Amino acid sequence: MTPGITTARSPALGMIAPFFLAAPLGLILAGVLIATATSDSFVAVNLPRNVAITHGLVIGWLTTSIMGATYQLAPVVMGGNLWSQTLVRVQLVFHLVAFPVFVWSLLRWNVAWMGGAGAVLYLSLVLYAANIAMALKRGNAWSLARGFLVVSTAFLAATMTLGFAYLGTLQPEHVWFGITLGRVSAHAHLGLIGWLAITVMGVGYQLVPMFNVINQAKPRFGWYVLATTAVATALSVIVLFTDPAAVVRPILALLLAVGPGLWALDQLMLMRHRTRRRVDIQGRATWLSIGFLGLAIALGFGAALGTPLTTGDEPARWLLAYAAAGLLGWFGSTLVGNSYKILSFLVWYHRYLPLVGRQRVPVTTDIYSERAATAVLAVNGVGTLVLVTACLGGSLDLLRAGGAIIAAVGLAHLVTMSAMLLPKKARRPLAVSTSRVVTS
Amino acid sequence: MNASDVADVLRDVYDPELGLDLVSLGLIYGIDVDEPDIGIRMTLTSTGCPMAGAMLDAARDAVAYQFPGTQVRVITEFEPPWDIDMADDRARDWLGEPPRVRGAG
Repeated sequence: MTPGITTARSPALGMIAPFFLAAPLGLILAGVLIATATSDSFVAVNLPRNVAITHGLVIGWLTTSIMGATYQLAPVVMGGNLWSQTLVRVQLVFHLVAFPVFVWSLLRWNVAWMGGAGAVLYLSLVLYAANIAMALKRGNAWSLARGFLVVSTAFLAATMTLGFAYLGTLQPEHVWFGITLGRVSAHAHLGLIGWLAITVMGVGYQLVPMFNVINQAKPRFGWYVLATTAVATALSVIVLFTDPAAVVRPILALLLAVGPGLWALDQLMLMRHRTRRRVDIQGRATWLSIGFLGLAIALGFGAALGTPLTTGDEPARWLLAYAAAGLLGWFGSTLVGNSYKILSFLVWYHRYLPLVGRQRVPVTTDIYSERAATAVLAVNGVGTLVLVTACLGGSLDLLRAGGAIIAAVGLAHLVTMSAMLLPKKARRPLAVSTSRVVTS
Repeated sequence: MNASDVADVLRDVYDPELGLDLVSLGLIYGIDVDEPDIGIRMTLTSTGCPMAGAMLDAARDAVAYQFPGTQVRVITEFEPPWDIDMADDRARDWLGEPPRVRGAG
């Protein structure tokens, strides 16, 4: 009898792929909202449109991608099965129904709908966190990536709970406390650093050595990165909640930059030792994301100093530029690069692994177009730089152009990701190995 | 059937990520044939490779399919750890590594 191939530990393709196909819709939505921005966009970060765009990017694009990636990676990489695959599908439905309504309610500043859609989103994220927590608990070995995911999932819960409390206090019959700019910043940094940055850094520690075949070097600062980032985030959130004096904010910015800065050094050192010298989409995304991290740190520090780039009444420019560099540049580049690798592997695993040895089967680079993926990554970088420039210069026309580019990136990403699900043929030449195999 | 025949089958089992076969990559440390038993000693490019189970199963399944009636065992070995020097010139070229210096020493 021919032994069967075990695919039990890899989640079903039909469960994971919808996350990767839904995520670009968030990018398209955010791009359209930016492309139709109005002249007051640079006045304050907490304008309804700016808040809607931020949540469109964070919940729609980035969080949906991360959910798909961690549902795939938690069982395969961390060794623990998900609690329930049915729950994953239920969670996705909640998420996809609530997310656009939530963004719309923010745009219209309809607090009643914000509360309703926010409650469903909260439920969706609780289901996600519970499923991932169970997979992480069941894993049999501690790794950097597992440690990062545990901490980032806790920060996700905190971000959602604080955001949900804000939705509560916004209801006219409640008004428990005021939402000051410091408190907006506290919620934003819980999500951006605590949830997104820690997740992206942890995934980077797992995927960069794996995809670039790095086995001659180990991360130097991994646990320090996690500890300093987690402590700096928690401390910053507490301090920001009290609307600290201007002199305190640059100190918080420096604290928040320590962990990601060490992580970038680690990634650069790892990449220097890669065996796969010819970089692929994941390697390019790694370089680009590290560059954008550097830009985001510089802009974040500028925003914390509170000095407008030009005199006038548009103090949000630095903050908006900082958000664009971080969300679209650092996190976005990372997710674009890894999405092609993760989904193509999943397609190979479920469709072609059972055929290995019986017929020639495609490899992952047959499943996605390296050229198209690189183009999406590059245009995302260009769009991000256009938006950063637009924000710093206060140019509405440039802002709208950047939004249009980002919407186009979302559409191209959706098309290229969807194309991976089409039947593929092996393109590689027949094996002509000249290696000698030791026999006895 | 001998070890060379088994190696030929493994030359068509590809690491899907790297686009290279197990033999070219130098992942096969040894093949022991004592019909109906076939033993394959192989390694992985990294100890934390999440594809480990898939690659081991693929190697075993491919050989068992080509040689019906055999009992195929795949044993993983991490000593010596895999190194790019174990890969052949084609694999090195594919990965962007410079070719070996011939005749050195």
